[in-house]
Amino acid sequence: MINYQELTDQELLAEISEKNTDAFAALYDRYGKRVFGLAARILNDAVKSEEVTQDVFMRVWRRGHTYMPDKGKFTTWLFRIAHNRTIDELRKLRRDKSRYSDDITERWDLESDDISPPDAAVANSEYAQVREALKVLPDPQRQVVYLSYFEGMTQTQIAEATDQPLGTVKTRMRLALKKLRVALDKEIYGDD
Amino acid sequence: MRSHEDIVGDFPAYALGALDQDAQRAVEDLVERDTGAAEVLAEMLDTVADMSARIGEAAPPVELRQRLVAAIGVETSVTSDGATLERAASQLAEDQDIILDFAAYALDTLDDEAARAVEDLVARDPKAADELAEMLDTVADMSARVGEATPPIALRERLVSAVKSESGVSTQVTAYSTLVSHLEQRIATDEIEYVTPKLRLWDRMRGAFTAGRLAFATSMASFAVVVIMAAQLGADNVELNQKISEMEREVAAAYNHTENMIDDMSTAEQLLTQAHDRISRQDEEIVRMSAVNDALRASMNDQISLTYATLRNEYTSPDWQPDAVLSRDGYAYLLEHQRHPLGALVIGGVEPAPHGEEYRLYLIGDERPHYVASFNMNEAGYGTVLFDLPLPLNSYSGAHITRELIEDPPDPSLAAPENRYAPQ
Repeated sequence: MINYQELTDQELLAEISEKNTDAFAALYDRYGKRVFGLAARILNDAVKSEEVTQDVFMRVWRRGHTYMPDKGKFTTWLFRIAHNRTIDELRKLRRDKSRYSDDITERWDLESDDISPPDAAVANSEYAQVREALKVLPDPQRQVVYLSYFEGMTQTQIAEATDQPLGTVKTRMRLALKKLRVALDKEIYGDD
Repeated sequence: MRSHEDIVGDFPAYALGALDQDAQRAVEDLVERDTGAAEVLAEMLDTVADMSARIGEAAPPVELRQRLVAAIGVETSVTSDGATLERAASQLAEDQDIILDFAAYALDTLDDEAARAVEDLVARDPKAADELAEMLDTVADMSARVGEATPPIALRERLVSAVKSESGVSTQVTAYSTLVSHLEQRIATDEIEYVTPKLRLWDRMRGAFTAGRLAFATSMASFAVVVIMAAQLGADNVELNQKISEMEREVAAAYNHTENMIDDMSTAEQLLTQAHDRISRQDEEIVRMSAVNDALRASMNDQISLTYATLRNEYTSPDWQPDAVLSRDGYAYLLEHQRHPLGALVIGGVEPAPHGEEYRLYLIGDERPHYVASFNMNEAGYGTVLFDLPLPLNSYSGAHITRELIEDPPDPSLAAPENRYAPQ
């Protein structure tokens, strides 16, 4: 009897490629909450978040064999799919109603130290890490990250919205990600 | 030790390439530590680069072309017109532009064409691939840590059902078993507390069909879990509240389904009771008919003087008072007309035959029952029938009364041998 909870991501994915539904269920149990949490935080819509989560995992089921370990970590592949799908859904929602009027800072609770109850249940420390990492960024860099990552805006759209040259937006974005990498590592491994 | 402001003051010179090596290193150290400063410097570099790009074109040295060709691995021959060099230089510039798009690629905000350019670049440049991979990891890390939230339990069921469906595995049963397994696991780890459904409901369920119990029990258990989860996660979890409503509807539907089954069971039970009552009444009727037949047998035992006989379970004489036996449950008189070949049966204390049935009189002669007449009782339980009697009554050895379906032809076999009269 295989204990799927003890298998690595790649072992589970190998089983999934063989159409092992128990392995699929185990992978969902491992990452379902995070994928759903990501979608819920960006979309702020439980029903749409559920759809996104379902689509993401169905894609894993159908296209798991296309993941190539030498191209990167499984979680990078999975959460890229999840973020892409979430942003697609966000763009669809945006066509129905304008979301630009939202106060991003308020919506993502970046200034407050409080953690909302759902976060507190499972991801208190982790989301706090992300918030702290984002806070480290200079405002212009944080802005491009918000607008692209949470709002799904393209570089051109950001340049227009912020009245900045496209090259500046690209540079800020690049610097922001490099800085985030360092900040997230610090949050995980400490300052030493 | 130079101050921060001093070093920032060197940024324009750095951008313009006008600093000595020590000052350059100081600037680079600072931008490594201070992203804000790096951004300021980047803008200055952009400005200078923009300016440089617009200064004007001039043919570069041929050896530069060779160095570039070697650097990018382009296998081509050196041409005197510098076209290859231009392509190589152009390629490098394009690559730099593409590298600037890596962040947008990682954040998935590039259009398809630009994304393809990124993918083409990393396919041929391992260093670029490493840089992109790092950015992708960064974004994925952030995504993974943005926060967890518990999706609806039904989502897991739906997904597992969907993949099982695609695998050709039947899910009708396993969907429930997966849920039960999931619940058991959560109960085992004290993540949730098992709540016993209301006893009244389970009592009512006990008599229902198995499928109904399963549907109801599963819905009830799911409902209990969702309620508990909602309590754990907070009342502001709109999604879970929606789920609770959904589960409530499912429970109500399952409950209604069960109620219907209970009604059906109740109806079936009533029918069974009615049938049982009918059987009981028929048993009583048989007993009563048996008594009548006994009386007829006794009557036939006195054939010679049979012009007027009062019959029940005992022999009665012609001068016996018939009213004396009317209080008994049943009685019958067999009469013979003294001048015409007619007979008559007077019978009382017997219930009317049910709808579609009637009583039939057989007389036993030559060891065989002969059908004589059909009759029924009035509401008071009395009946009289006149029948042809081709032979004298005393030529028969016995009589028998049966109750049969009207639509059926008379069935002499119903006159069981044990009921036949055996003259002494």
